[in-house]
Amino acid sequence: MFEFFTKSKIQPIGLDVGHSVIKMIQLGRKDQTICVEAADEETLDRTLEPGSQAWREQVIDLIKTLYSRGGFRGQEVVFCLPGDVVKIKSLRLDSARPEEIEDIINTEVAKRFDMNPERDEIRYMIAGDAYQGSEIKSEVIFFGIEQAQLNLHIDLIEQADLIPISLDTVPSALFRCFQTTLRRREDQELVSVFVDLGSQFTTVIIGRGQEIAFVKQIPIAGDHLNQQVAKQLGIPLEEAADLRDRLRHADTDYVEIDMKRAVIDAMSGSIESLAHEISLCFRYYAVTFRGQRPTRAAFAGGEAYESALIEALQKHLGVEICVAEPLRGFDLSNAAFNRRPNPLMCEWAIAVGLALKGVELSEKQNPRHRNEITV
Amino acid sequence: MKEIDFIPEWYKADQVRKRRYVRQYTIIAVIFGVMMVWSFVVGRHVKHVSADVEGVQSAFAKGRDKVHQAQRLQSEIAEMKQKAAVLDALTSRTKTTAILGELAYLVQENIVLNRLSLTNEPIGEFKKETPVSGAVVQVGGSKERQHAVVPKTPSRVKVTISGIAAQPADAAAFIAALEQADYFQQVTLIFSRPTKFMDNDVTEFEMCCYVADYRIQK
Repeated sequence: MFEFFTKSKIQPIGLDVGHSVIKMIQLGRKDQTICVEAADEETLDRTLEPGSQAWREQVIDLIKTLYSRGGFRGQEVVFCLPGDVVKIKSLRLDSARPEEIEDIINTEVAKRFDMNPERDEIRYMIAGDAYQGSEIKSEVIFFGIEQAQLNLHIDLIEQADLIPISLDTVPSALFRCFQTTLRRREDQELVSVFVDLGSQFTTVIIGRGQEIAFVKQIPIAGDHLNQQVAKQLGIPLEEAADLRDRLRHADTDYVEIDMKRAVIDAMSGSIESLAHEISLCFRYYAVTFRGQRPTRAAFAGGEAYESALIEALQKHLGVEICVAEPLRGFDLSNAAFNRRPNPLMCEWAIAVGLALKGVELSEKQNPRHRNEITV
Repeated sequence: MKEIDFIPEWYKADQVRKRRYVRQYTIIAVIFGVMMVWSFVVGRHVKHVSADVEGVQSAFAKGRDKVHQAQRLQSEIAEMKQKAAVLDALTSRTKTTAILGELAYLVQENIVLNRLSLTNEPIGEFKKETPVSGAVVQVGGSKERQHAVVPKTPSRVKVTISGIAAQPADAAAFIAALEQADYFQQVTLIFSRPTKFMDNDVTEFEMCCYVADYRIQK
């Protein structure tokens, strides 16, 4: 009878609108355990130009469909701004005082981003002390987005009958997803690497303890690999994507060995480029922060299932690579996940990170419900 | 980790304003709803109370009519009782038929009565109200309180008999019979004289007596 009164507050929905898939997830809390209240995903039509009116209408329809089909509650969402509209830049500053950083935003950062600081939105996070020769400076990561783009995304969410309470970035969402595993005292100086292999961008995040120290978006990702395969094999882009998809999902019995070899060979150039970029990130971090070189990297995102890609990256980077499990330790009894094709569910990392932010925001508003998250 | 959030301040302010509007409209709607329900409940209550008041008023009007009717009847009854009391006071206590019957029993065949007068007259000892005497008259039968015009003193019936007797002895026997009868007392002969009646010598007499239907207690 009193279940209605004791039922936990409705948490905001994590909404990840990617270039190929839309994912929605809503978390809840049972005692000290996070449980997935609702989760659903839908594939986007790749032939539509992202950002076009047709694409927007499709996204709005799919969000509404997911909401009604997935059993979501509430209207509040934490949304992730796509990587291609958020500009990211790291700068070394003499001081990390907020007033000076604000001055630099208005002058140097706005100029580099080609933005108007009065109109556009620029945020920052302090990465830590960076070594520049014998000097110690503050490494600050700036994020910027044009107001027009911001308004378009807010309109998109509102047209889907939802209310955005937070607009997050891919790196923050991805790092937050795994932040809960870094709360031990011995993890305070641990260097962790998280790589999101998406459709358009590969996002590399290097964290120290519970803080992000480095962020890099590399424009080599799933779409780039598809283009390479299509170009090398002389097949249409859709067919190349389908072929790679079949390779990813253990349908290798139905793919000829020669074809598999040909696909891997076709991707090898891009994989090498990607591995080189990621290794540069490692080097930058080691030089800048004089920290230990990462020895392990967790990969997430839809492309992380491709074993050929992971094996190639492991060979090139020389670090241990594992595929992340963002929902590990979560109570999934309420969610209707089909875990058979992808049991690790690493493609949900950003959506989970967004939903976790929703939980944190909700607990900030209602401190009585605040509990440590156990994952 | 420092959180990055691109929600613009203007949007947050807009949301706060919207929430405030929604809250205010909700409160207004709730108040309006409560007022509606309250007025509905009060209206129903007032309607019931009005119906009750109307019922009470009609019952009161009916009751008032009945009270007036009862008052009128009571006044009529009182008036009639008053009249009945007066009549009772005026009406002799002693039945005329009883007196006539007793006389018919006592009158012998040689006596012819030509006048019989029954008169109520106050009992001699109460003619002048003397509280000192302290005498109380106990009369047969109950009497209601008498009106001012009605004699307040106890009365007795005085029977005056005139007639003729064939012989003087017959008149004397008649007197004796009256005296012996318990029904009469204080038999007094007023006169007795010889006279002629249809060429016959008769004795004309007149006597009076009182009906003995009372007793004086000392």
